[in-house]
Amino acid sequence: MHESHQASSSLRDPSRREEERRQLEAIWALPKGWRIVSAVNNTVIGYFYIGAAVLFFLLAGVLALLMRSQLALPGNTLLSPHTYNQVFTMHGTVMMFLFAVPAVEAMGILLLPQMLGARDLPFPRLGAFAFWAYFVGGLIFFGTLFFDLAPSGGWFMYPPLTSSHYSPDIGADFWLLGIGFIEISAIAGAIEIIVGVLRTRAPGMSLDKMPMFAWTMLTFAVMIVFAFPAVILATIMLELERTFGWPFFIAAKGGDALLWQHLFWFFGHPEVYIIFLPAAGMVSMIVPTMARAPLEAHMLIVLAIIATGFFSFGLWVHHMFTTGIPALSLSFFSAASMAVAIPSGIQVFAWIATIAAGKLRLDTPALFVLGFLFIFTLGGLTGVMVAMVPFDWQAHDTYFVVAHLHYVLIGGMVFPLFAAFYYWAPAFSSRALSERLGRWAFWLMFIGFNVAFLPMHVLGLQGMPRRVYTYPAELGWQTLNFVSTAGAFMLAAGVLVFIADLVCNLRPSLVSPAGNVWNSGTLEWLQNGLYGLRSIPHVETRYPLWQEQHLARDVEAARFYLPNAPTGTREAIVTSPIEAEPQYLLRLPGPGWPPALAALFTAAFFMLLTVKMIAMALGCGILAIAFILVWAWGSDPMPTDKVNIGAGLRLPTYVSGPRSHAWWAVVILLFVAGSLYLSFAFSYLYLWTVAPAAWAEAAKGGVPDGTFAFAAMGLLAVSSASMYAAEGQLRRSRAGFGLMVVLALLTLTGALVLELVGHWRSDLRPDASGYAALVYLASVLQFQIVAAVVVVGCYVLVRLAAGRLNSERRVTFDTLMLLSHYANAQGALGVLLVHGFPRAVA
Amino acid sequence: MNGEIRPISSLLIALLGPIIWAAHFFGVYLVEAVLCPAREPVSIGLVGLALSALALAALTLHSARCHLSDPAGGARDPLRFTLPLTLLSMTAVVWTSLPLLVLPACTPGGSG
Repeated sequence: MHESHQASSSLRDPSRREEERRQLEAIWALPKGWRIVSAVNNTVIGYFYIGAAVLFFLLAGVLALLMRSQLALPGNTLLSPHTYNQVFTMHGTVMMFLFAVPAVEAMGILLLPQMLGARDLPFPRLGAFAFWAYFVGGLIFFGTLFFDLAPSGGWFMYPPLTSSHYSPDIGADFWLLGIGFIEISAIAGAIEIIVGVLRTRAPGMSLDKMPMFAWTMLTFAVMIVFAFPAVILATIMLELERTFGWPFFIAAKGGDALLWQHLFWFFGHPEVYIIFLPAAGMVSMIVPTMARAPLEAHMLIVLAIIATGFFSFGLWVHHMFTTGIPALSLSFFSAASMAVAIPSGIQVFAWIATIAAGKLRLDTPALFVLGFLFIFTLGGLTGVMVAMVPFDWQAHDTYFVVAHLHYVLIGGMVFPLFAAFYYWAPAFSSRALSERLGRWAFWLMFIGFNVAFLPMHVLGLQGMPRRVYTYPAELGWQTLNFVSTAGAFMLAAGVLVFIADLVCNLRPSLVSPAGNVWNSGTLEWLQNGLYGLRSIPHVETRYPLWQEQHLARDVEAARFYLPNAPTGTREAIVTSPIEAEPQYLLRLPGPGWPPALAALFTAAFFMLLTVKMIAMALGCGILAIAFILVWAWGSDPMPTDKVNIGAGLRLPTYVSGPRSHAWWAVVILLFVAGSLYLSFAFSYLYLWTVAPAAWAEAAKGGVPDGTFAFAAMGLLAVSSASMYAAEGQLRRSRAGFGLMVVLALLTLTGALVLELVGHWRSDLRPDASGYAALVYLASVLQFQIVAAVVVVGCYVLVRLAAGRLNSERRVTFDTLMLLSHYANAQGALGVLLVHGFPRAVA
Repeated sequence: MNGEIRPISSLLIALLGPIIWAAHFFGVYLVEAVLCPAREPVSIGLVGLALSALALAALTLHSARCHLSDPAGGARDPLRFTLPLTLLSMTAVVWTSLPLLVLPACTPGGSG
């Protein structure tokens, strides 16, 4: 079956094979001792990531037990009201931002390369940066609890409660800057995953043969790209309001607190599916193995995953049914909330059909999957209940919602994750986890969970509001609360058994794992070394280990692609996005300190800003950028001749333009920037519908000044033309190229300065009204992208001077060009919105 | 490698169904959000239904194109789910449009 993609056996003599293996081991060797911190291999970063996510899960779990202890008895005084507020805020925030999203991202980073037959992900240092930024930032954020500095406004931080008037301490600032920053690290991970899934699959693994987990991780990452910018914008706005008094959310000045809710839930509801989809992907991998039958309705499940991804963006208002939004609008969101049950149902029925078609072995992973099906289905049913507007009016902000969200999140994410831990441990540990302890962990968690959360439905229907630190005995809630607390401790006992299992049995090993104990059919179960697979196979089926005879033997015998390292460095094969045809050989970086140091200083920048140590913060920010540039300096290596990657295939080692993986990453980054800007445009239009008088006033007074706007548009056009001209000059003249780049940077910056001067000369001040704040916010967002273009532009000029940039070796310039054209387009849209819209509606 | 499928256009064509659904969804939401402050409740229903008709026409056209250009369901559709995804999007557009037929516009929700 694979003959056309294999090297002839004469070339594969044992001594040569052994020499190649040693070469691969030397190239992919890990740093020793504490220097492991500088490692960038996906496996090491994956271990670290999962370890950190589990740590935050345990810490947030302890907070949950504190809350349940407080509520076990009426009138309890274990926690003060203030501490209770901090504890429930931190519990929700840590579980959502520091456990759930990073945990599934971590599973992606650990599993995807092995599952896709890649040696590593395409941006190993970006993955390392994302992890260290998250870990350092997360630890500092959690540490605020011990200094009474933790936020206390609830995990969704609604203003006006979180405004400087009602929350004057810096807890809210820690949330806004800390979580905003951790979201940025999640976006970095998402870019890595999208490019990894689309461009580094084993040759032949076309999208229709791709494992379901990769489909869900791809959808997960795309959803992050579109959802997270909304909450990043919201955090920027609230922080600007708290620090400088820009009144985005203050009704008395033309702002609106509901704008926060729109932006937060535009992120927050897809977030539920961002967490659920990868977990469903894990289930789709585990079920066929445990049932010993291929997944039923494979492409229907893919369809369901994509549809869920889309529909989940039409649900955000269902968190706002009681805010007075017109009934017709509520109905659109109610309808979408019910429509999303269709794709979810497709997946559940496909899993049931697979189980029915095969013969299920009831090992621990299968138990956790069955637990997931039971709990998540109940959570889905109560989800349909709260999607009904009249029911939601009754249940809103009660314990019914607390019960529902835990059934969805613990059922839909934690149980599949535990199934995944038990299922994949043998692929990454020299010992499998204990079946006996696993069963104990499952039953304690399953029974404990239901005892803890089922009574909350009744408590909610009895009227118990969420987030109360205590309740009087006369209300009759104590029995159910006590039962719920007992269940929570039982659930915690199950988690402790799991931890004991990890301590006793998990022995991380990259080179001699326990192996394919479940007789699974996908590539991650092949024998791996530090370098991943011994040779990269040509994949022809969905379950290669089941359906392609001798594949494991041939991979290990180095009969496929890349049995060695033809360029003498770490490498990965880049393939086309849909059909996975080999396109070029990507040279990957080895271990190094810049990613971890850049992450450390980025975290320090945000945290020092929070405590208003501005000078030190700026210093750390500059150091962070410096380390990022140091790491970028070694990227974009010198093009070489085509190399032989084995099995008769020769590939180039350098590609620029739309075929390059870097081009894809930058385009995805621009989608993030575009999504952020569209969220701003939504905010601008939203506040206009709330307070149109400010816009009418602006149009009458000629504010902001239109003359400056015309001049700014002119400069933006010159900037774009200069960048086009620079591309032409790249082939002809170095001096001409440099001149055009400098002109493009100066005109882009000039346009921003003109805009700001125009606003200021028109006596518009950002703290005057919601309208004025939005006008200046357009410039703040433009400043961000202009600053990025200027930094990259200067870097390009330095590379030009150093002889590291020419018409062939031009990926760095391609990056600048994409960023620059985007910045011009965004600037033009901003000018049209700020200057054109008030005049148009007048 | 010659005759390679163009990845971005292929992905966009495959996802056109839900993209139209999203455009319709945000369209009908925006219509009410923008026209209610302008006190134009009658036209909201009409504009909303016109948007729904437009979306359904586009989805019908897209699914017909998918079916006619690839009746065997696969050879020219590398992702092999374009048609069912378009049909699901159609269902979602119809489902989202139903409130336009039965509910008045601009009536505050949450008032009981």
